[in-house]
Amino acid sequence: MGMLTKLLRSWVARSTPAPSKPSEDDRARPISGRLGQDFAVIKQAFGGSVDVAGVEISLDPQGRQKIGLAYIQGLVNSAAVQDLTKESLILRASDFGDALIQSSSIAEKEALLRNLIAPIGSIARVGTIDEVLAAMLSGFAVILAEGLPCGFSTDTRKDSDRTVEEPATQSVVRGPREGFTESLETNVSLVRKRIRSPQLWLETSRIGRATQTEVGLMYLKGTADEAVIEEARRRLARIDIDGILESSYIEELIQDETATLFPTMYNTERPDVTAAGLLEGRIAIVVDGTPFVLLAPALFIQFYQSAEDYYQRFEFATLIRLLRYVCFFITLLAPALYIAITTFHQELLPSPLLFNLAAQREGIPFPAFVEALIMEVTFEILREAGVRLPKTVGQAVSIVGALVIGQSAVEAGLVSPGMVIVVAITAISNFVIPSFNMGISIRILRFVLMVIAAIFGLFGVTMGLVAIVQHLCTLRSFGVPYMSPMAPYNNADQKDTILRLPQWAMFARPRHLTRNRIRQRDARAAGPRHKD
Amino acid sequence: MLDKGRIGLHQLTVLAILFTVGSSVLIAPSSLAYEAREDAWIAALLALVVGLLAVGLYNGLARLFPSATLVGMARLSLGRWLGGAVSWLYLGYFFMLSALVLRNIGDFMTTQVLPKTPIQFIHIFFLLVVVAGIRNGLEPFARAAEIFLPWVMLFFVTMVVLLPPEFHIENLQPVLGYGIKPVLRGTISLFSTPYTEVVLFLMIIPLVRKRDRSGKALLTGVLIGGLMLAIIALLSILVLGADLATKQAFPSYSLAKKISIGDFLERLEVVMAGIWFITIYFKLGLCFYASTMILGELTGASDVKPFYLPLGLSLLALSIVIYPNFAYFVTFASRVDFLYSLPFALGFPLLFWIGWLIRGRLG
Amino acid sequence: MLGTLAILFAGAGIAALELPALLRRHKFKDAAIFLSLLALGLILAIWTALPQELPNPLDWIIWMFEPWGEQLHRILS
Repeated sequence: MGMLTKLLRSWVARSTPAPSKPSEDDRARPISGRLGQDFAVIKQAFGGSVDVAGVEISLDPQGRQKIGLAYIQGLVNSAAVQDLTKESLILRASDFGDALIQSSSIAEKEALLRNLIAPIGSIARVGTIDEVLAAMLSGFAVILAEGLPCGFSTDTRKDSDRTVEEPATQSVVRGPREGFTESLETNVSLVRKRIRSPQLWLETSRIGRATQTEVGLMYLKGTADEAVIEEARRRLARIDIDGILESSYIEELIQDETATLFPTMYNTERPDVTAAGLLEGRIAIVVDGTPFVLLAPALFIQFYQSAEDYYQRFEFATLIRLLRYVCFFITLLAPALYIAITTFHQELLPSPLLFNLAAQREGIPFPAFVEALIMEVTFEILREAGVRLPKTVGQAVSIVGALVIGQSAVEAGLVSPGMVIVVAITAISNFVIPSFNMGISIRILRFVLMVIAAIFGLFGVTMGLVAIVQHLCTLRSFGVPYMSPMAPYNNADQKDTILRLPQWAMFARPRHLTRNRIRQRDARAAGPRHKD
Repeated sequence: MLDKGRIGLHQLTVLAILFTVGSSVLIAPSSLAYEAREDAWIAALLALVVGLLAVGLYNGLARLFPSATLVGMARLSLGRWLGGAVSWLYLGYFFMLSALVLRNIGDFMTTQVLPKTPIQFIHIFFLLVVVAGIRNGLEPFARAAEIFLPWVMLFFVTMVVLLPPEFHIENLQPVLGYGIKPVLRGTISLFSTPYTEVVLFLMIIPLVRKRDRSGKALLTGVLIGGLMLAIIALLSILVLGADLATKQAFPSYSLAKKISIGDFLERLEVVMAGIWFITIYFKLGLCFYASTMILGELTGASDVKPFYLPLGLSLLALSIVIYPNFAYFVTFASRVDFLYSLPFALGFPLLFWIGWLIRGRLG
Repeated sequence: MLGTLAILFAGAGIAALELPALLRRHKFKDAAIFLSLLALGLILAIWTALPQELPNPLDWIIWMFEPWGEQLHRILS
């Protein structure tokens, strides 16, 4: 497997050209202090894009002191820019104007200018054209002054953001209905709302040469494993790509193993899931521009747990979890078992069932394997089509597809009704798995197992399962074995794996994630004092 | 250490259980019943006791030579040259064992489950899965063992629980009717496999994390595995009777065939076969691991990972030729195996001990 | 014939899979061991496909130990 990845990487490396070095000229070019020239340089850097605005304002009628304002329309909050011009530059210009005009030292001018625009807040000094451009691209308005070799950027960023709504992919019956949005700030604030501890630390960096996407690394200091934090930091720093558009780019670039079907990083749209993960000692990677936050380390068992498990009663949650694991086996094995049993091991079925199945398969021209393959592929086609179709039509097509096509296929004698049932159960069980990317992995494996079942029967299925489990045991996510806490077996962590014990019984954090394990001290303290 | 992975105590126990049950659960009851007849279960328990004594020997050796594998022990106690020679012998022993185990499962498959498939394909498929599993070292292999053990136990217990309706207690009689000698013959046959093969764990103990408690873990594992074997022997006699158990090549498979719950739960033997696949997978994996690790240590390689595939080719070839038919294998198992394994299980380990004593006096 | 070809093909596949990684890391001793093992495996595997019988180590072992085993069995009968 490592061989395949290496081959892939060398082909990729050979076909991509070396990144062009940024031209040294305008990168570190200092601000000249002559407004006209500076504005020209700025406009030229953008190739004369019409949404780049440069405004010159004179502080006094004689035009002895000019102030320049540069920003990109669309990225700035126009009200804020208006405030900026009105409040500071115009209203207070009278006070500061004379002082500015008269002062001759540059340091003094700089200080005066800073005071002039101070009321706006969040001012940062910019010293080179490069910094000016970067600031403008982030939605800041940059203020330059005639005769001053530096400028100031002010936070006038536009608040264009989706309102916080229910997450589209991971919904619950009981629990908060807030989902992340595309803005990093909003998302971080949604998490901070839930974990109001100064220990919740955030480190940001900009990744992607062209996109300069802001990426945040969040963790609970003192709870999360230092080694994991450091590893995440290191991996993020090593990313060298032209653009990050979605957290999946980062996931693919920094995950432990690429040559595996199984996801080793968890992604979620929900702030409460993120907060829970952080509290357990995980780290969260938030990416600007997407509502999907990455959580690491991720374990196999996590992909079968849902936020809802913690919001409903524990008995119910335990049973539902057991149901999910049963569904995992069904969706992975059902078609393969059908093929294996009907082809090689008919004696496993009770006689009445066997007769029925045999009668059903009487007129079918295909062997069981081909029959199963046709049905499964048809179902995959229908499912993919269902995702692309507009909402109004989508529902109709999936129902039509399932019922009518299935029914017609049976009546045409192409497939047996037993097969349709198997495929239907398989598909529905797939949706029980809460995590979509795990569901994808299983879909692919299902086909592999079908092929093996067709050749080697149950023996093949067993060995195939052994191979899959063995592969899972080889994986690690940020250093933690993927199959923890089942293997290596850990008694303490079993309380929240297959079962879900009540909150008062879970008084320690998972051992494989953190050393800081005390979660609650006296578990039953909150209950009634004595029962009489 | 050639293998950088480490395993925990629990994993050691699990590996020991799966190894002991290994292929013996499939082939042992037959020869046991042939020699000891109704007292097969007594023979099994006796063999277990002797086996545990052997484990005690290995644990002692492990304490004398901390963090040394079998090769290390041989070299330290007998000198580089002699120790190396003994290690080569062990390599041959474990490699032969791997071929035998692989051939066992191949025979089982072609006679009972998939008669139409050529045996080579089964060997290739099985071997590929084993190689893929063991290539990454012992640690992931042990983790997989931890995951599969509950299933193996579950199916084993299911079988034990579902069989009582088929018991014929009278099959157990006469107890010791023919004297102790048949029992001893049976003990010998069961001792030669798997208990003498447990010497393999001398290659694994150095990888355990809490070395001081590893002895108990190994003992527990072999004990549980041995008990499972004894139970299978007992069940074979109770349900099939001594005569039938002797005539079957794979009595535990026939046992599973007998399970019947109200006309509905029948023909579960295919499921049982799946369990034996798993135990044999782990036994074969461990044997192959041991051989390759010995090779790696002897040749001074830095990593044995690339060696599994080419060695697998040789193993495949050996497994095809190793015996022409099952009768030949029975001859081997009943007459030859014990004496052939004895040097490896007891002879050389005692030699290591003596060598250690001598070297202690000299140096 | 077909079997021999398949075996050679498999051998080539194995070499392609493992050899480049070994050579890139300059592990020449390991590569040498690997190649000798591969050669041995290919020879043995092709031999099984041929009509001529491969010598069976088990034969030698049985030859060595059977007399004693027979004795032991007689003692315990």
